[in-house]
Amino acid sequence: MAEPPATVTLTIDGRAVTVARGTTVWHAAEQAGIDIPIFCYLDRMPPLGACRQCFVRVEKMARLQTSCTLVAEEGMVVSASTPDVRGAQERNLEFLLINHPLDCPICDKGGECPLQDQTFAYGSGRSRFVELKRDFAKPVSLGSVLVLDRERCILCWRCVRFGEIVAGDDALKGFERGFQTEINTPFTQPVRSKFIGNTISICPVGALTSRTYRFQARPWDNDAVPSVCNHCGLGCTVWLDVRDQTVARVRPRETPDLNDIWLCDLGQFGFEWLHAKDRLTRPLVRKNGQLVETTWDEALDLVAARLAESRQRGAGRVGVLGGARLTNEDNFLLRRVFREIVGTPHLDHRLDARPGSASLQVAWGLRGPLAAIPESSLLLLVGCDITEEYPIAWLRMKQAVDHGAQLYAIHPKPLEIHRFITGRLIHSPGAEGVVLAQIANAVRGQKPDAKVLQEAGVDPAVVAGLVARLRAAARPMVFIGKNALEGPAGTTVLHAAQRLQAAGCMIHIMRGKGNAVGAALMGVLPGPGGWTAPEMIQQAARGALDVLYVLGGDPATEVGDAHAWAAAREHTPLVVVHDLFLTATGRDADVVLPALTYAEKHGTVCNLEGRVQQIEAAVRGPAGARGDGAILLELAARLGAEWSYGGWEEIFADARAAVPGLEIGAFRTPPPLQGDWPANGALPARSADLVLITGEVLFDRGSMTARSPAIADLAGPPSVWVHPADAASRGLVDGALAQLSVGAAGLVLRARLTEEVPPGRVYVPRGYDAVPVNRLLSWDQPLVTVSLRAIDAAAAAGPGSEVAP
Amino acid sequence: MPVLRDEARDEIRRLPDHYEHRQSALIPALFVAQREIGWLPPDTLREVADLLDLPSSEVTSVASFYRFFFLEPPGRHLVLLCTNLACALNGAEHIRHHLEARLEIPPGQITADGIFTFRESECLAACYLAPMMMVDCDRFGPLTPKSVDEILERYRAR
Repeated sequence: MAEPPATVTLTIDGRAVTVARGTTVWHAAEQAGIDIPIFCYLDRMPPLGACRQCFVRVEKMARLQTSCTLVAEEGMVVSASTPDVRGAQERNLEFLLINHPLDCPICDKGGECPLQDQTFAYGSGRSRFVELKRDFAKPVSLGSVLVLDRERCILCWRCVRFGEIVAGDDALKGFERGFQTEINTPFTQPVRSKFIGNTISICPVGALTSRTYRFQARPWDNDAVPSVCNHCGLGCTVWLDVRDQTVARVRPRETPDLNDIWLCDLGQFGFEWLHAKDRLTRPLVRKNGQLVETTWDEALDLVAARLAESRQRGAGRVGVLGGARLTNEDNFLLRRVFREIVGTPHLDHRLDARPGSASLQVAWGLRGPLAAIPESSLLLLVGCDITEEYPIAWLRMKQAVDHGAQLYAIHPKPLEIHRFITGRLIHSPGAEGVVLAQIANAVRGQKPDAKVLQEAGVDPAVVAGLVARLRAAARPMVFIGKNALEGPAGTTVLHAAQRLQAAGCMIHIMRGKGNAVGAALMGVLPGPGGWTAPEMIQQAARGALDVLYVLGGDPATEVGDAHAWAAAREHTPLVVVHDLFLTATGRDADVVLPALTYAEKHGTVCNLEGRVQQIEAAVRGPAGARGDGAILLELAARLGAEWSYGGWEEIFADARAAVPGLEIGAFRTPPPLQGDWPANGALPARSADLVLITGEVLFDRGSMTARSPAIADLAGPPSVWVHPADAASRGLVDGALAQLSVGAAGLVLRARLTEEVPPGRVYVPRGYDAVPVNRLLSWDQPLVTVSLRAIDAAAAAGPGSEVAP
Repeated sequence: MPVLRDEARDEIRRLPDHYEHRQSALIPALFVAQREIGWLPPDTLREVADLLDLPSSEVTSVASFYRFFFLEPPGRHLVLLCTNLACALNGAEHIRHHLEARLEIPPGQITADGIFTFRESECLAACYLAPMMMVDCDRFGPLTPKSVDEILERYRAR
C-alpha cells in the first residue's frame, strides 16, 4: 500500500492551509494565523477538550467540533468565524463566567489573563445568569507559594494535568464531582511539589496565583529583563520582572531545548534575597579584632598591599576559592588577576570537594544536550538526587519515562520519584562503587557476583535486569551525582563509568551550581603546580598561604569538614571575601567586600551543558556594592596592571580569544570521560551504628534561600530523617528535637520520621547555614557513624549545643 | 504507620493483579479499606496509595468523587436518594423534602443521633422503582412519604 502523503490541505475560513498529517485543526489555524480562542489546551500536553471554547464548524459534520481535539484531514472545510461559531464561543464564555466572580480589579492575573482577554475579544459583554454564584472561601493558601481562588477556576484541568503529565508529582487534583468539582490538594493541605509555580504560569484565569507576587505589581508596570537563573547549574532562562528597581517576580523565559516554558520553584520563588535588608553595602575590615566599615579605597589598598607583599615573598602564597556565583567575565578577570599579576596557580571554584575526591578528577557537566534525554531508553542515576539537585532535568527524564524509557537509581536512600523508577538499587552507604563496577563488568560479559551485590544491599535480580537493558538500550545515559563523586568510592564509580562509556553509555557528571562550568572554562582551576580547593585549605592550615581570597562562596558551611576550614582560617593571615551577605566565612574574614548579584550584572554564564548564555542587569543593586569584576579590576590597577575594559563585551571578547568556541548560544560540551582512575573493589565495613548520609535539597536555608521567606518556609526547619524503627528504639517521635553526635561534635535537629530513609541510616539535608552538617563530617572519614538521641527542649538550650529553630 | 490489618493490606496488594493498570484496583481497594475502618480517614487514604504505589492525591480525588466513599465518619446507615431524571419526574423532589423534614438535616449530613447519613445520588439503576432510594445495600420504591417513614423506622431499630 502506498504511504499516505505527509501533509494534508484543508480550508479554514476560506484559506487553504497545508499542514503535516496528524496536526489538529486548532494548530492548523494557528499556523495560518487564524485565532481560535482556547483555555484548556496547552501544546505541552495532549488535548483534552474540556473547556469547549475552541469550537469550529466543519462541513459535513453535524455538530460544532472542538478544534483542539480534531485532527485535520485532506479537504476539510472549516469555519472559525461564522455566526454559529461566534455564537457558540460567546455562549461558552457566558457559561464559563457563570461562577466566575469577575473580580479582575483585585486579581493578580488582570492584564495577562486569557479569560479576560478572550471575554473581551469573543464575549457578549453581558450575562443572563442572575442566580447565586458558587461560593468558596477565598483565597485559600496552599502552602508557602501558592494561593487558590476556587471561584475564579473554570475547570480547564491544566494544573492537574501538569502534575500528572509534566512534573509527575500529582500535586493538584479535582475533588468532588459535577457542579461541586473543585481543584485543590487533598484536604487543602500545603501543596507538595517542586514545580508548582508552573501551574500559576499556565493557569488561564486567576485561580492559582503566587504568594510572593501577590498584589505586588500589574504586568504593565513591569519591565521584563532576560536573565539566567543562578541556582542549580542548569541555567534555566528566566524573565526578571522589574518594578521600581525591584525584582517583583521571576518567570520562565521560553527556551525549547533547555527549560522549555518551565521553571522549578526555587528558580521561580527563590529571588527575594536579591533585596534582603542585610545586603552588604560597605566594605568591612578587621580592626582590633572587629569587622568595621570602611571605604572602598582603604579596603582595596589594604588587599592590594597584602597581595603585593605576598608576591614579593614568592609565588604561590595566595589561594583563590570560588567562582561559581560569578559571570564568565568576572571569572576571566579573576584568573587574569591571580595568575598573571599575583602569580599564583592556586585557583579553584570547587570548594565543596573532599581532598582527592573524584569530583576533582573529571570535568563537570552534561556530555550531551539536556533536550536529548527524552530520546534515551535507559537512564541510570548514580548518587544523583535529580529532583533535589537539578529539577528541570527531571522533567526531561519524565518525558523519557513516558516514552517507555526505564529509569534506574543507585542511591543510599529511596528517591522521591520512586514511582517512576523501574529498578531501585538502594545500597549500603559507600557501596555505590562496587555496585556500579559489577554492572559495568556484567555489561561487558562478566557474570555479576550475587553475593557481593547482596552484601552491598542491592537485589541481584534488579542488577541483572538493568544489565540486560543496558545492553539493548538506545542512547543509554548515566548521571553521576555529587553524592557518588564525593563518596568514598568516587574513583571506583568513575572507573566503572568509563567502562560503561566504552560500552555505549553517555556519562553525565551532575556536579556544580550556578556558573560552575563557566568558572572552570575561564580557568578558575588549579594551574601548573596549583592546589585544588581542599588542598589549599589543608596547606593554609599549615601556614602555607598569606592570603585566601574567597568569592561568592561560604567555605565555613560548604566545605565538607568544618574543622579543616577553621584551621585554614586560623593559620592564614589575610582572608578576603566577596559576598552579598555577612556569611559564616565573612564573619571570620579580615576583609569583606560587598558584591553584586547576577541580577545586577551584564555578562555571560555557562550551564551544565556548557551552553553560553547572556544575562542582563535588571536592577542596580544596593548603593555601595560593586560587581566582582569591577572589584578585581580595581585590584589589578592597584597592583600595576594597565588594563582597560570598556564593558563586559570587551572582557568577553578577550575571554573568547583565550577559550576557543566561546560564543553566545554555543555549547562548550565537556569531553567524554578519559582518565586512569583506580578501582577499589572493597565494600565498606558494616557498621552497627547509624550511618550518616547527607545530600543536597532543593529547598534549604543557605545564605540566599534563608533570605527568601518562601523558600525558607518550603525548606522547613533543619531536620534529620530517621526510619521509624530506628526512631522507636530511641524513643524519638516525629518533630521532636534530636541530638545527632559524632564524638564531641553535635547538632540539634528536628527528627523527621520517614521510610524514605532505610533503617540503620539517617539523612541530613545540607544547606542549612545555621546548623551546618559539615560540623559532623570529616575529610579523613568518608563514612561517618553517628549517635542519635531524643532530647527535651529545655536541655537543648544548654551550653555547647545548637538549637534548631 | 499502617492502620489496616495485615490481611486487608495483603488483599489490597493482590488487587492490581486482576487489572491491566494499577489504577483500576483503586476503587476495589477503597472498598476494602472502608470495610475495615468504616470510612476513609486521611491516613488510610495514604496507606491505600502506598500499597498501590499511586499518588495519595489521586486516591483522595477518586474517593471524593464517589458517593459510596466516606471521607468523614458516616452514620450507622446510608440513605441515598436518587434525583436523576426518572425519579425527578416521579416526585423525587417531594420525597427529598419529606426526608429532610423527618431526618431534620439537608442532604450531605448526618442525623443528630448519628443513625443516618443522608445523601442525594445520581442514578442507582432502578428506574422501574422511581422515585426510589437505597438504604445501605437495599433498594426501595416507588416511595411515598408513608413508605419512607416505615423504612426509616425499620433501619432506626437496626
